[in-house]
Amino acid sequence: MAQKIDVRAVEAILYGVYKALHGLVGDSSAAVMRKAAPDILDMLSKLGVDFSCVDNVDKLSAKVRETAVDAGLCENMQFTINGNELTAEITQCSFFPLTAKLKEDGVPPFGCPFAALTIAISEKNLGKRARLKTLEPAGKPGDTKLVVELMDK
Amino acid sequence: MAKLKDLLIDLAKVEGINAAVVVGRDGFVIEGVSDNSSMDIEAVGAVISTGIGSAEMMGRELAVGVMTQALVEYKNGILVTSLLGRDAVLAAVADLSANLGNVRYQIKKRCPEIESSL
Repeated sequence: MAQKIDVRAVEAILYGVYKALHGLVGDSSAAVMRKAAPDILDMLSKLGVDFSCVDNVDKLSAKVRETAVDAGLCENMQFTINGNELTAEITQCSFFPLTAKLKEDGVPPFGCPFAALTIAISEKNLGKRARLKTLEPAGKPGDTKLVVELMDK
Repeated sequence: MAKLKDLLIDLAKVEGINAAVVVGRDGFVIEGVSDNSSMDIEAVGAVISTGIGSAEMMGRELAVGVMTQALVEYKNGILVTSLLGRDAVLAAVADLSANLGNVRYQIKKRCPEIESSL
């Protein structure tokens, strides 16, 4: 089995899937990602990326950052916590060209994997309820800031 | 959110309605009440949001305007959903024997106050 995938092929597949999802459920497409995130976590675990050690915000920050950078999803990911808001600053997101193309075609960035993973781990491992508050470009093209609100169950 | 919870409790007191839940368009369950212990309110957020999203898109494709309310009849109950502005959805589950006209009227009447409590 081939071990390398051309990023362009992944982008093309994701572009088609994201655009179709948005075409089918419109503004509710973010809910698809909320539903998908726990399964992404399970699959990552089966593939050897285990988040079970995460039991506080510091460990969550370190593990998500390590996973995202090692997988080539971004160059860096920096978390800060302020009260009940967890902010992640993503440097040079690898999905930036895909996101830009989707935006150009009227599809919002509902499929952000960084937000999905942060929310899913917060809910599964930290016992919190979590919701994406903002997701916006920050700094240079490809840099993104997301804020997740954490709430007690 | 105490006011929202109270509004949903009041809605669930309408004869025939046995659950009411408000979810964000992102599938996040904002608040919910149910007199059915087997109903997992936390689990239905994404399903309700995408269900209403799909209904909205049908309306758009069929050029019948903006969706105001959706009613789906199942074997054991009726689901009525309404948009609460751009960011949230109200869903209520009613018995098959419920007075549908009243259920729809009560939901429509209460939506503005529920929306303003978000």
